Amino acid sequence: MVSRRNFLAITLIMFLVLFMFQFSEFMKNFYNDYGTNPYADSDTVLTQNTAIQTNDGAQAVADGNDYAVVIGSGSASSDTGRVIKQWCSYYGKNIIYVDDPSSYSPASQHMPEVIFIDSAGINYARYTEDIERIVNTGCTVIFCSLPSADTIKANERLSSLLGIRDVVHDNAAIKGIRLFDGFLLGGEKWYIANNEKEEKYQDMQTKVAWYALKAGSKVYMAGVHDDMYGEIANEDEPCIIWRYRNDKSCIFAINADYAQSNTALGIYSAMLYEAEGSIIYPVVNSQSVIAVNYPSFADENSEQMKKRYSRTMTEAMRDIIWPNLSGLTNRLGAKVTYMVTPQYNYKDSACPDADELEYYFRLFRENGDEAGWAAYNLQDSTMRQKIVADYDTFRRNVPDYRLVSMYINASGRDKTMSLLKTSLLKDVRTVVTDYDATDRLFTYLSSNVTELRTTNDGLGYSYMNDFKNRSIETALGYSSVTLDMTDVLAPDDNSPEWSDVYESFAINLDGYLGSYGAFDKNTVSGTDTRVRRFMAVRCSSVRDGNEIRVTLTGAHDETYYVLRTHGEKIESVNGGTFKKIEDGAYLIMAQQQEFTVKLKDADALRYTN
Amino acid sequence: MSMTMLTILQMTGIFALYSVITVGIPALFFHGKVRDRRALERFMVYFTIGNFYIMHIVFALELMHIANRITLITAAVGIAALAYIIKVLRKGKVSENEELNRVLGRIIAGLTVLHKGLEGIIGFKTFVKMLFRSLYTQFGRLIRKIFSFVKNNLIETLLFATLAACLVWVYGKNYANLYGYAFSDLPVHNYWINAMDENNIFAAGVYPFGYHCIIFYMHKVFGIDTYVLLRVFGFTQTFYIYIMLLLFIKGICRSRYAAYAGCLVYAGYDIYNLECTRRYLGALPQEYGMLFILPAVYFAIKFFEVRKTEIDEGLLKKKWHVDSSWYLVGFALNFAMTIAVHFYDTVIAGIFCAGIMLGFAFRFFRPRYLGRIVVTVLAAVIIGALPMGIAVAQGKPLQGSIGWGINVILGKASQSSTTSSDVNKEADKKVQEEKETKAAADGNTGNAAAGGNSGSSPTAGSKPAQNSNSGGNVGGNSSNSAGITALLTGAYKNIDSGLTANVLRFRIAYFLPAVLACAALAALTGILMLIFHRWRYVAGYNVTQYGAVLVSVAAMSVLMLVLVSLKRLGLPELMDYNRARVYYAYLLTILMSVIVDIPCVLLGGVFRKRWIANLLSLAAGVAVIVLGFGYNLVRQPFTTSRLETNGAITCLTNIIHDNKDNTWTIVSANDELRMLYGHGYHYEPITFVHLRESKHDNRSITINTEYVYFYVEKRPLDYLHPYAGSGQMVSEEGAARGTPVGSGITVYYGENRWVIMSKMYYWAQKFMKLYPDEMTVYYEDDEFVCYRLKQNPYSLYNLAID
Repeated sequence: MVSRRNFLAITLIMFLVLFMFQFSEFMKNFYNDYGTNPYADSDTVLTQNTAIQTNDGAQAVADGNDYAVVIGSGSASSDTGRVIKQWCSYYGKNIIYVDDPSSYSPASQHMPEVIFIDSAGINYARYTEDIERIVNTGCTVIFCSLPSADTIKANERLSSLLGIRDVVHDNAAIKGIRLFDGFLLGGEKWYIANNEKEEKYQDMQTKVAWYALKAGSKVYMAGVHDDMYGEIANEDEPCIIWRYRNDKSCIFAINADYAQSNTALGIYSAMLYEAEGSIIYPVVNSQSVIAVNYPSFADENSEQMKKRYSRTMTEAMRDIIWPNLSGLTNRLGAKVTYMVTPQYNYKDSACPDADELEYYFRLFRENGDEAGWAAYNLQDSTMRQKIVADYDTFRRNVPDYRLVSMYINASGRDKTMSLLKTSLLKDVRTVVTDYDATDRLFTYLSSNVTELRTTNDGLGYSYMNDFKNRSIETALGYSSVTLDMTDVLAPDDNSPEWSDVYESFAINLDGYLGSYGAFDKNTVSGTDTRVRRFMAVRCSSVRDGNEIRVTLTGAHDETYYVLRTHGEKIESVNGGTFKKIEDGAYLIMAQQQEFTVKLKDADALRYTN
Repeated sequence: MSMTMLTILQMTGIFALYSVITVGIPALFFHGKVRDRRALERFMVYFTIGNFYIMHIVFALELMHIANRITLITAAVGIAALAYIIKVLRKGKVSENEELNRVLGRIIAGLTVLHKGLEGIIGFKTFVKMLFRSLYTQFGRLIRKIFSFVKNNLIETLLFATLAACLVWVYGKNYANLYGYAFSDLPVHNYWINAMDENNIFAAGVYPFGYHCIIFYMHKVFGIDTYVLLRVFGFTQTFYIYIMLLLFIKGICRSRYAAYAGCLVYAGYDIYNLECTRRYLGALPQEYGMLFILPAVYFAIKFFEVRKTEIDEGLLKKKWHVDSSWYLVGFALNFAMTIAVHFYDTVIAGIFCAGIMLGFAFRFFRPRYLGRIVVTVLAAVIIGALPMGIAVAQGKPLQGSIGWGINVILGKASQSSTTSSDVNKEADKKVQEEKETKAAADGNTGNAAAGGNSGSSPTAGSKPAQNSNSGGNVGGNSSNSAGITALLTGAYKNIDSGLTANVLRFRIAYFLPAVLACAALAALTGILMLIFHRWRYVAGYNVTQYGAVLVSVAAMSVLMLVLVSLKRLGLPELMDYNRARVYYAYLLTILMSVIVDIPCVLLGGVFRKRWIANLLSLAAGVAVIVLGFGYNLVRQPFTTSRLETNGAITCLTNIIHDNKDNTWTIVSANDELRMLYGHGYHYEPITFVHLRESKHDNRSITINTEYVYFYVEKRPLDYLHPYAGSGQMVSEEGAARGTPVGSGITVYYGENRWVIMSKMYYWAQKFMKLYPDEMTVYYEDDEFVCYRLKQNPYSLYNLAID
């Protein structure tokens, strides 16, 4: 028998408990403004196309800015030359292309910051003396590629210039490559397949010319010799990237074909850092994860989905995929941009479910994620149908949601621009496209629309991709990892199951982002904002003792910089904040047009005499 | 923190640690046994037991090759616990043993509190509060006792504080300001102790390792680096040498403060040759062994006193279970430790015992004394030599310097030496020959330790002529004398000149006659007291015992005078005079104190008032202080140079602190080779220079650690071998010279060192240009620079640049 007093007390407590649980949920839903896009800045806030334009030719020397020289016949149009130009443009450096080495002498009043030598365009039999003369001017010289081992063997002056003591083997087999610590950000990495499972990742070169180096050289990347050569000391392994310093110059050499792709971007930045005591350069500081063609709001592909997951497509997405994906990205602190496709098939009777759409948009809002639109690779006629249908879906369900980012794979510039004129995509300011090995990673498509290229396929890990990712992170503090869900949600008989896709993606994403915890994670729109600021800023720095004074031009908001110091530690940053990336590397956020970095006294010993 | 401050903290810590393990802990266990003894006697007992216990635990475990931190702690605690348990069990029923119950109760209470703290049953604040309360209870009593002692012995405390301050002033300052080893022996001892880390005792052959055992114990159990111990333990050792001297003199004198008069003169007066006390600037085995000579002598003297009482009182039923036996045990343990630590100490202990034998001759030869003494001496010799004997039985050869020492005694080896190294000499005979040649040429062989740089000492520099030693060439004079008178006169003159040259800081008129007169006075007084033994107790003194002690001290003085003058007399030298004079100066302190004590005792006896004797001895002590200042005899702090720059030690300390173990290498000449054991690796610069200058086309030098430190002396040390250009800076001229050729350490002597350092310096400058970010200056001062090279262990730099 319960007394009335007790009954009342129990009832009150039950109400209280009910209220406590329901109130928080109610408030969360009440304030979840899922119908708007928090990342959609107004056009006035957005940095318009103010990317720094770099000069070339005679103007490159005259304007007083840092400049680079590329030596090699046809280098202006070669892949190597384009990548160098891209690298220069990111850091506001001018560029001069020199076809004929004999005709070039560095301007003594304003020496180039770095000289690139594209060996593919140089006849060493004729120009070795000129190259030697240019190298001996005291500049930092980068041999983007090397001539054949025979050429080097026959040309003692060239081999001496490169710090090569002996050609051990013209074309030696290697079973992997070691990237040493301190060169690219992210630390040491061994690209060696230790078992059969790892062999599928091995896509780096397996044959290199094997050179023995002179004293005075420093190796940044080296091959691991094949067992057929017997026991070799570590320092005698085939060298891939090295530095050789003589009394006059600092010479870098790349004994591989990395210079022909964006993989070289970080290598050049790291070489410049190695040539100097410390270096500070602007970076984007943004890492984004993009889920393409996910989620979809219509129940399609029912037969396949039930066969695989015993669920309909929407159920599988909600009950299986979403918990996995959101759990993984939350753990890594990543903000995901979901390039949604309201439906996969526009010819069947299945239509997008409004409840599903609302459900996901609420979740995006709760997680700080963003929704974009994916232009699934459809025919033009179907594309038009899709845009109309999708516009209808969004207009009816989330009329105030401005789609500011979209994903389109393998499109041309004109096609993309035409898409942006549609009602659905009129607010888009960021177009995400697939990676291109030699094209710019980001650029303006129009005065206010940028194009960002993804850097990694979340399912396509390989050693070369990892190396490329490290290089781009080093140069730009930028990465963009995609996960294309088409094969999962519109599978055929050979498509992998979600569990396999998830396992692979989880491992790869951790590999891509794990070493760069210091860099911010953003949605595509957040990345776009950072990219615009990055392209607008030019920085120059002067070191005086333990102080580095950095002056910025074109910076109006927060901008980001990487400072690499060869082990020195930052004491304070006046005019900004900093955080450590790794030993000797710091990420600095500048809030003013000028900031000063004070380094700790390297000589300070714990016990003094 | 400055290195000086660190060194002071290390010195303080090691002093405290050594005091706790050799005096404090034995005191906890044995205070009940010796409660009724004099404080000085108790101290000696604790000290003897502490040192003997630790020394022989290490010996035992090392000989079984199982010495490590766990076994060392387990053995030390376990044996003590076992002994305690046996003692408790022998007393009867355990449950009724109050002491045991009390101890167990305390342990259980402590463990309960600890358990509660760890389990979170009591809060952290409560735990800390209980801990402090417990500590306060335990140590409060001790502190109160100390305060009470100071209050009741204010004058003595003040005198002791003066002596301590004097020691800190004279010796401590040098330890605090100059960080490196002062003697070239120390790297060798360091090496032997390092080998003990690998259970390889007697690494270079069988040698008295008692001192090494103590250092090893502190290193292994408490984790103190051996190089730190060898740098600063010398101060603790020296302090204890003076304490032992003070306690011994207090033990044999009858006035309260006479000992302070002698000790203050010895510690604070600038009258002795620097070489008589310079060895106190290092933690050397011979000096460590000195700690056990005087306790052995004291226990021997006490034996005669106590045994006499026992015989008089007929306490002979329990043949061995009498007090005098415990004194013999004390004597045996200390005598054994002199054997275990350094044979020279055994020789001196033997000479002192001979003095006692003469002083107590009227009892010594009686069967009731002699039998026990013979058995004790035999036991002591066996105990002392047993570890070495076991090692020999295990197949270890004798260490070279043992043979050298024996040859010195037999007159087969050179008498000329430095005070620095016997082991090094053996290790490098060629160098020794060079030194002997040099010594013969300039007659200056006593200027040894810390090298030949002792000229930098202001005191040494101020009186160079008086500091010169002329050890080698006077002995033959006596053979030319015709008659006995002439012979004696010649001997007298030789002894006198020898004392002036080798023992005194400057010539003191009538020093030898004064010493002889003092000895004669002591002997005469002693003999008179023995003759008139009916005055058995004058003012409470045992006249017979005191008289015998006086005769003993007089005999010791004469015997030591003979020992130190053997070469002057043209006789075979039992001991290198560089070493003998250290002991002789030590002994003179005893003689001096006794001479002060005699009139005090006599006057006190005449007036039958003990306070008169104490007052007079106090007056003597105060007079010593006043006269010291009045005649400007106060010693200045030693400012000897070292065999390593301060910068080098500073760097080593920082390197060990900054880096993970075994990730770095030091390229240096040369003491770091042993110092960095257990932390990093060492590379010889001579190897480096040789390889770099080889003509091989593909020459390559790689050092396979992530960090490589290059020590370069910009102003190279002479390392015991001054040359015409001593003190010059490294130069291109030096770098252009040919690479020195030689074996062992000889390539780092004198000018060779300058050449190697010059080559290293210019190599480093060039390498820094090629690797500006990888090769940086880690430390630099006017005399020394340390470069740090950071390299990739998987792709080492070829250091063989042109």
